Amino acid sequence: MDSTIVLFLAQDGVTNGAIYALLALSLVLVFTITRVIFIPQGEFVAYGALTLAAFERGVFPMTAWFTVALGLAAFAADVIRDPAARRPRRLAKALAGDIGAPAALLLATWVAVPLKLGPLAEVPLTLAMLALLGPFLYRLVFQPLAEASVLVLLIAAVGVHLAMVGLGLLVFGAEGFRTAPLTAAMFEVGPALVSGQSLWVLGVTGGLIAALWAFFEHTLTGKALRATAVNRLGARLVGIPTTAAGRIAFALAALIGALSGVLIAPVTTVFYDTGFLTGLKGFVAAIIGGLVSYPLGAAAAILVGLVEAFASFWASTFKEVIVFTIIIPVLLWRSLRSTHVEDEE
Amino acid sequence: MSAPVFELRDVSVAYGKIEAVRRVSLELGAGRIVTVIGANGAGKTTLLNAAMGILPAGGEIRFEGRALGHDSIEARVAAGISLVAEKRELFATMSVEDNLRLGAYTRPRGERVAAALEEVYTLFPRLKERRKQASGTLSGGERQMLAMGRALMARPKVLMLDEPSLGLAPRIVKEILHLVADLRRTGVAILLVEQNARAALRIADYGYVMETGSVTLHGPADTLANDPRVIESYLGFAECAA
Amino acid sequence: MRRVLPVAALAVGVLLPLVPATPEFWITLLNYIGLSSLVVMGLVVVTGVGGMTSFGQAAFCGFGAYTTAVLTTTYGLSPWLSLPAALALTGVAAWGLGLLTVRLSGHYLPLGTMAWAISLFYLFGNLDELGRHDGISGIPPLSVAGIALYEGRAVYYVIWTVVLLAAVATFHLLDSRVGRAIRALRGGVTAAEAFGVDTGRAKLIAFVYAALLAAVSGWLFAHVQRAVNPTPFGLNASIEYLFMAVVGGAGHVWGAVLGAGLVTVLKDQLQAVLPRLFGGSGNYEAIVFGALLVVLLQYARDGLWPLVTRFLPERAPEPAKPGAEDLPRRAFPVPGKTLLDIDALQKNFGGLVAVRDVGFSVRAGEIIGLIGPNGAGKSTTFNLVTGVLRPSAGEVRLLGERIGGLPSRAIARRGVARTFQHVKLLPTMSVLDNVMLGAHLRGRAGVAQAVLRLDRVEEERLRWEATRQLERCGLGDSLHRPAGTLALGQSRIVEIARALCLDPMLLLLDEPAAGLRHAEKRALGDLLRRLRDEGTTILLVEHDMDFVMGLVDRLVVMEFGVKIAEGLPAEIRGNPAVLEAYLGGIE
Repeated sequence: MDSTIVLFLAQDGVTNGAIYALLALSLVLVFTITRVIFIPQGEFVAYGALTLAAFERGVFPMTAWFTVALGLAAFAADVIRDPAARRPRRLAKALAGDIGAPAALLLATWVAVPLKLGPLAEVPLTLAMLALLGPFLYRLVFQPLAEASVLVLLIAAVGVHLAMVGLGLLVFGAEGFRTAPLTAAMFEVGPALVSGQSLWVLGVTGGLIAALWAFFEHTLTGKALRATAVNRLGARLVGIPTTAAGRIAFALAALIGALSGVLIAPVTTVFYDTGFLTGLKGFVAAIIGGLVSYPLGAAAAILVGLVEAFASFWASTFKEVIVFTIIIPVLLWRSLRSTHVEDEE
Repeated sequence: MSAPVFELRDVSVAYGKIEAVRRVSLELGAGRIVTVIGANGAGKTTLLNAAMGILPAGGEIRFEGRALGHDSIEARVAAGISLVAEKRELFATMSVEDNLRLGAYTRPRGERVAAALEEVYTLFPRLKERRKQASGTLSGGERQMLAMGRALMARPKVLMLDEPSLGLAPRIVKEILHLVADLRRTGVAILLVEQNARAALRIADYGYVMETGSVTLHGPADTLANDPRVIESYLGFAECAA
Repeated sequence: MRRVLPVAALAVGVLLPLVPATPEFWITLLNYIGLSSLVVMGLVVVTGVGGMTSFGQAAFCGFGAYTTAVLTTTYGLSPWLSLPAALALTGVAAWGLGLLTVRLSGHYLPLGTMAWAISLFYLFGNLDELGRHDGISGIPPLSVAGIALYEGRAVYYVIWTVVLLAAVATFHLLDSRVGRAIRALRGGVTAAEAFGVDTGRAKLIAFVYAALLAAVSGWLFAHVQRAVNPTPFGLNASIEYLFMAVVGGAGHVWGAVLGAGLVTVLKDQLQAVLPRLFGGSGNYEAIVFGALLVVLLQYARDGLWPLVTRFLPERAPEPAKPGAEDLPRRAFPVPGKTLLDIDALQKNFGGLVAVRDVGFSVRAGEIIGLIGPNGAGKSTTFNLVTGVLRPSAGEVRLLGERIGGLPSRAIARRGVARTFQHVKLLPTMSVLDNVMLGAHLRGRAGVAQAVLRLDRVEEERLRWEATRQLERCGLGDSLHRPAGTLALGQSRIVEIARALCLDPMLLLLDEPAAGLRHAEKRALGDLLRRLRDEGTTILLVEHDMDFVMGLVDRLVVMEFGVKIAEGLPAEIRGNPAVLEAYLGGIE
């Protein structure tokens, strides 16, 4: 194995690792704020990639309809479950957010598809419709289970995963797609060739992490989310509604998932069920990071990407076996380290 | 006396089949300090948690004449009721100043938070010194100050304090209770739950004594301070004397 | 009507394949239901009862299926001989994975099972010896008395006989000393360990038992299908088994069969209907399953079996037979001898000193009260004595032997029993079963004895002991009620009865009078005095001063982690330091 191969594998690993880092980030975000282990994260990756691919082929992405349907369901669920949601002001707000916004996106998509406006218009549309899905899912599935245990929430998340994979097949078909790269440029850096797409991935990942950092450090909403993650009761005692925090967390997670999908779509063929494994690798990273620490999770994600890249070179058939086995010693180490006395109040 | 700002009528709280609080009624006027004292396990914390909406309760809780019903914790904070919980419930990894700013979360966005922040810093100069420090690194007394400061950032009309002296050394207890007494001047109505009966009765206007879930005794604070039955309720003298 | 139902179900089950008019397709479906039921029954033990969510059951099916596939095709072994091999291999694998997995806490555990389940799936699909993704075909059918069972109708009887045997074995296991230990896992590790249960071992037993049931299912599957490939052993299959468990009711053995039945039939119907609706072919049923799973969790978290039980006869609880022999008792120290000796005990949490240099001793036959305001360090002291926490410094000695730092179950073995401030009973288990857990260390029966019902004599004795202790505490008429239906006061008494089942020299009570009504307190006081007179030594933490002052022989008072006073109740009452601790400073 010469240095060219090493550098090539490293580039591949870091690029994939960056995607896993994004996924790990949003998993940590969702878990700390809502205690949901967000298994369907990977489906957002696949939906993102496949929605963009549909735009590119001039096919109407059914995702837009899906968003409208879930918006309607979320609206109905709120009105039925919560008497406070029937007050006129709340109702008007919900109408705009749950029905108006998805309908507007549907309309925009309907206009945009035949015009083939290119990624500059299509990527934002894709991200917007998927980002809306997140909070709708939260309200339909997880908000009613807010008091349930982490395990019940996990099983519910598995249910959402199942349904979304099935729907993915229905909506996008069994065929896999790849989108056009944002750039075909290649750069020579010393002995290695670096692809423009890799730089895009790294650049967007870096930018997003910086943006998230700024959001959490410098905005009141960001701080409120962190507060909810650190101390849920404390957050409620200063008037931060847990459900609002949950919605924002799910919106961010959905957005990040969809963005990851848009980023990997030009380099990997994405099928309706590709997201699951991608998401789980984000998980491996998040778990190594202990589901609580963002920087650790991101670092672990790069590690997972590298392990995967080198494993696929040395033992390609056992790539997945190796990636998913490294989690076990880590889990063991973490659970031994965090031995705690059960809560005696 | 003017109409009470905050009023509990026949409030009961049950954990499953166990009634931890039984038909407790009390009232609280603006600018007054009312204390609920009693030994461990008397149901004081449960009572406050019910008043804040953390626990579901029977009976009626009224704020400014309006029954709160099933209003959520957040709705009560927005209405003007704040609780400094027994465990303080700070955001440990966040700075003192961030904790305080989040305290103003329910205030209208346009309002100047800086002014409120300065007021809190004036009340608790120690917090200003430590404003960049993570709240988890504060001492017990400072944490209590921060929890109180954070609650005040919401500009509450009713402030409930759950055992502010808990786990603090006697000197700090004195300091904290002085601060509580000072708050009276801001016009906020204070409901102070304390195990430290003597200290609480010294700063309060009126007191209630709770024993195993019910109010057994109430009256003006200075009367209660000299009532031997208060000591009995703590150390069980009644049975010993017999 | 109620009595007829189970019998009728059995009769229909036996006769169905004999009726020629029964469609072949029903039989196939029933066979699959049987195969799934086995796996889900394992999930009932490990997840529903033991509280460990496993996403790895399908992988254990894979172990069973691949073992027999390789042994019967490559080595020409008889399927009946490959069964023990399949069980042994799966058992070893499950034991190894279990050792890693059961140490994981909280949500790490299911995620861990998910990770190795995916690993194993790819391992099955990439090993040349296992035929990679194509798998292994040409597996011989099962044969009975020289007749090969090619027919679904014939295999049906094998499958359902195994299912019934597994159900009986599972019932036996859960209704035994080991089963109580597994059930106790849900109530938290602290309580189970306090009565001598090795919770790590109990988890491992549940885990391996479930894996073995899955292996049997996999073994049968290989010989019914006559070919194996990795797909039915992947994570999605495991998720489906979990779904069946949730549908049926994860806590009920027959819920496994119900869940497997409903999901299998529903899946089959959906697979027929949905593609017609949507066109094309695909896993459209997953959409419905996913949505259903969420709805079930929101509206019927206990599954559907509880609905069925309404139509079934209620099983009369087994009464304890007074004829059972009493359990042997331990030797008690003579009254007045120093039983517990605490010396310079210290506990630090990070920088915080929760207990500082505390020392006192308890003599046999005494009742000692440990009191102090909130946060004084009483509970910490209690936890140091019972082994829930390790002391940072200092000594705890029981009859001169150092016990500080030993695990709870080792301390329990030496005759120290306790109750909890927050009652730790299993609400759905009967009072009697809850109390029998206290006698865990006085029995020896293991899994094999339980499954084969060789543990009945011992169980009888344990049940008799528990009954006697409950009667002694005045709860003789509530033996068969679920513990969750008791009022708090009674629950505290049940905890005392459970502690007494350990035959303790030293009884530690954590706020036994909290939440009790006046009459209940008086009864509790009488009970504790009687226990003392019968030789039990008692150390109690209590806030209720009326109660404590009239009961104890001596008091130890703590504040801020330090002992501030010790003496007779009358002395303590007049002690200014104590008054100040309780009422605040006097200026």
